[in-house]
Amino acid sequence: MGVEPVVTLDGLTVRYGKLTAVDDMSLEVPKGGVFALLGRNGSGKSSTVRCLLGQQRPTAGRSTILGFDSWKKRRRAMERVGVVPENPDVPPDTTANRIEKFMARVTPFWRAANYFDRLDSLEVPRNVHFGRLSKGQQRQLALALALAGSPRLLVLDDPTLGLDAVARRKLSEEIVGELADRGTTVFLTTHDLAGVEAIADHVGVLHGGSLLVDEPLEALKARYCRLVWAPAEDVPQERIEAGLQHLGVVGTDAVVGATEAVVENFSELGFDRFRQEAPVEVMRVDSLSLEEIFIALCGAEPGGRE
Amino acid sequence: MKATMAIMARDVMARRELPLLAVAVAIMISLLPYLPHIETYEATDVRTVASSVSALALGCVLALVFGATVFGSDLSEGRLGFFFARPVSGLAVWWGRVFAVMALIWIVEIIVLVPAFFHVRMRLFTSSDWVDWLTALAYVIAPLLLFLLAHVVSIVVRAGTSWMFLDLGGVLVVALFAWLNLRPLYEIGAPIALSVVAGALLAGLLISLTVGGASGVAVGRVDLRRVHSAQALALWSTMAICVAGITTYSNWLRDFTPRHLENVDVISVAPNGQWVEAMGGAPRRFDIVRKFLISTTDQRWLSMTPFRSEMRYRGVAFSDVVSKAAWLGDGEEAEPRSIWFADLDDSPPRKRQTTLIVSETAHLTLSPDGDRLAVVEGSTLSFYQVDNEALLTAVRLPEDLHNATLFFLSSEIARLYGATDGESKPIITFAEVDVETGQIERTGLVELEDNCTWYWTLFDADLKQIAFRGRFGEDRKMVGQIHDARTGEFIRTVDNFKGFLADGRVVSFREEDDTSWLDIDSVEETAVTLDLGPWEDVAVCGEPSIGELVVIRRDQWSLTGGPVVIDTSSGAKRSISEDELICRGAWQWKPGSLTGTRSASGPLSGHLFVRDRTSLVRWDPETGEMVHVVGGGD
Repeated sequence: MGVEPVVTLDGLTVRYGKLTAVDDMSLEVPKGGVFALLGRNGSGKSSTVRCLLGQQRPTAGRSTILGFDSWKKRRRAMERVGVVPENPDVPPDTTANRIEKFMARVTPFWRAANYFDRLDSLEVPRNVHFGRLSKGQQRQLALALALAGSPRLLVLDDPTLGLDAVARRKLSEEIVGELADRGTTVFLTTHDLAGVEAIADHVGVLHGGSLLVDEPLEALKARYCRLVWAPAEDVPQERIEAGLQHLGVVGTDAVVGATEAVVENFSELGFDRFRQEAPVEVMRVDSLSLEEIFIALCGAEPGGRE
Repeated sequence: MKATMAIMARDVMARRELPLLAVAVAIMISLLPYLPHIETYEATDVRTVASSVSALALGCVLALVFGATVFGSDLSEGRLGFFFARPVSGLAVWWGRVFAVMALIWIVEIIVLVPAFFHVRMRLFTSSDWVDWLTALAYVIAPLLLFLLAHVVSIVVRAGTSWMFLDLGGVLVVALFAWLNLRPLYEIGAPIALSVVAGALLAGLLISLTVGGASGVAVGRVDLRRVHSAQALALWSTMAICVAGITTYSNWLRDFTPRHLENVDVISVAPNGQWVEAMGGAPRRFDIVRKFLISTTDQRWLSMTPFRSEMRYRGVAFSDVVSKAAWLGDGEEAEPRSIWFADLDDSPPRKRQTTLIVSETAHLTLSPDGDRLAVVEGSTLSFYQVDNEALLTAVRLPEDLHNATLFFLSSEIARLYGATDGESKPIITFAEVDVETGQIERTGLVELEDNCTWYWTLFDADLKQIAFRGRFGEDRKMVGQIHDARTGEFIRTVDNFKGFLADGRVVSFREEDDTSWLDIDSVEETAVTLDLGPWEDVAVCGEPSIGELVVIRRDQWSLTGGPVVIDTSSGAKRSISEDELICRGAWQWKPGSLTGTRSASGPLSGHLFVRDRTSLVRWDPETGEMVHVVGGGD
């Protein structure tokens, strides 16, 4: 590889009193592409993002952006970072025009034309106080602010929250198209799993403060699938369970006229060994959506799997 | 700095309607004099008062509102992340927003002050009165202080973390230290030093609030709980440093020794001149004054309780052999006072606060050997044993002896002099009291002339003669009317009476043919006449030894030359010093209704002088040099 990652988290730990919000989390986000950090509410995503942006000091570990420690060198780190927070935090008493003047003075690579073009194309009024804009317009303005400085890293904290379907689609297309072309790295957190499935290259799944998954989306989807087989009264249950061990069973369930199991390590070799040990009639092998994988991972108690 | 200015400009623009509000207030104030009922007042006064009060009130209210919301609301509503998602430092965020708010508040104040501006400006720039400038400073400082206070309190309340206990503890400790630093300065009546220390505490508070507020936002960033913890740590550690520094400074201000005294006021002198009660200030200590008992012959000294200004001139009572001293402690205006004793023979001398409590008007007298103490409190006379503080006797004084001036003749007998105003003439009652039994015996009475002008009373060293000095007779000449000090029997009148010598002889001054004479005589003896040359007047400073008289040349009320020693047998004059010195050891002052002085005798009493009102010096007759005792700075 040899390419320095845009984002690194190294043993990142965040505690609030006795509560551990993020537990020894490490990951690297390479340049380009879209990294999606997924997790349920309270899983530690927001704490991770705040630490990553240097807004909160981690209890242990560190994070870097473009090689700069994001707590100690936050100012340098943020020079080429665009941020769209979960709740747009532009001062409500400021208009788009006035905020541009401010941004031009504090952002080194600010391009006013980018900013205004985006606002105009999305029909966001320039002279209305931010607090009086609709939620969608507020988010569009926040995105315009984040993108106008041609960031090398774009951090999107649940960017589709409050956006209508059209705006969500537009945002997804933009991230996939424009930003990817520019080589901008996108680090996003979201609950819109269907949306992120279309754009993410790499996913991380946080659950109860622990990072359960950190791998390319395709690889994740390849190893998760659902097996459905017909009832076989002559095959002992022990043999079926032993066979499923080769596939990394996550859970099994009885459905009408069949039994199904979600596995996390599906492979041809493992499937063959399953069939040898448990000679059942496999009716089908279904691939899982990201949402289904997420539910399989995080659907139960903290710590994950059922 | 660029980021700070950008944030400041943004915040100012976001609140740009405030100056317009101020303009509206200023216009209303300008129109106030035309309102019914107010039109009877002077228009300038109405505008000045209204705009001064409104400007300060508006500034303070805005400071409180902004202090409570600018950071607090943004933090609790998660909006401060907007600034921290930009490449700007935490300190730039803090200072930019604080500068913006304070600039707006000060602009609002100035606009509201416009109706009175010319009047205020005239006062400010034509007056050298520091109170005017302090008032002007209040418009700057008060909103800043309130803003910072409101900000810090807002963070504490909104965060609600357990660091609140540190905040509460810090407030209590700082309040305690402020009390401990300010109260002694208030008690000793040093308003300038009090203001300086109070100002230092205020500055320390401002610095600590600024450091705490800035550190909280810069370190805690968007995390309200961490903002609180960082704020608490920075605020109270800075405050601790400030309070420690101010406490050290305040202690340094109050704690100085006679060595540091730069001006000396000698309040009382022991009968033989060996000890003096002196007070004065020290360099860089503002108006703080300390009192000491200071030995004039060696380096020993004793600090006395710090005294409020009204108690500073209450003299110490010395025993005749100067082994003991007694004085009243300090207290509130009409509060009872405890009596203090000092053993001056000890090295170092020791003082102790006794359990004896008396009224603040009481005056004390020690017996010649210092073993007994007499306390005259209005109509009551009490005698105590000094070593065990036991009451020997207490008697109620007859009306003509209320608040009498008391002298011990011995440890067993004391003499009382009570002065009352008769219908048109002063009446002085003479009496003696038995210390053991408290039995009072009237021994004499003196009625001074009608409409005489009685200036002061002087007793000789042996309490055999009493002189009333003043203008008596039809020609109202300045004379001394000398009476028997026990019976009050009239002895004689002496023109230009100057004082008694140790052997009871009388010194008087006379001018003839442009030559001044000093006559020393008694009823029995022929006068000794000393030729002084063309002096206008003299002050007798004492008689350090038999046959030696120290005088100071005086023209009217000013001294015009150094002291001179005159040999009373030969008339030979010897100059002690060319400097103009004030004699300080010749008499002991006695409080009471017959306030007066008693002639001192002894080798030191006539040799103590105050130089330039700053230092006490002692003339050494053997070397002829002036030995510095105390004062004049370190």
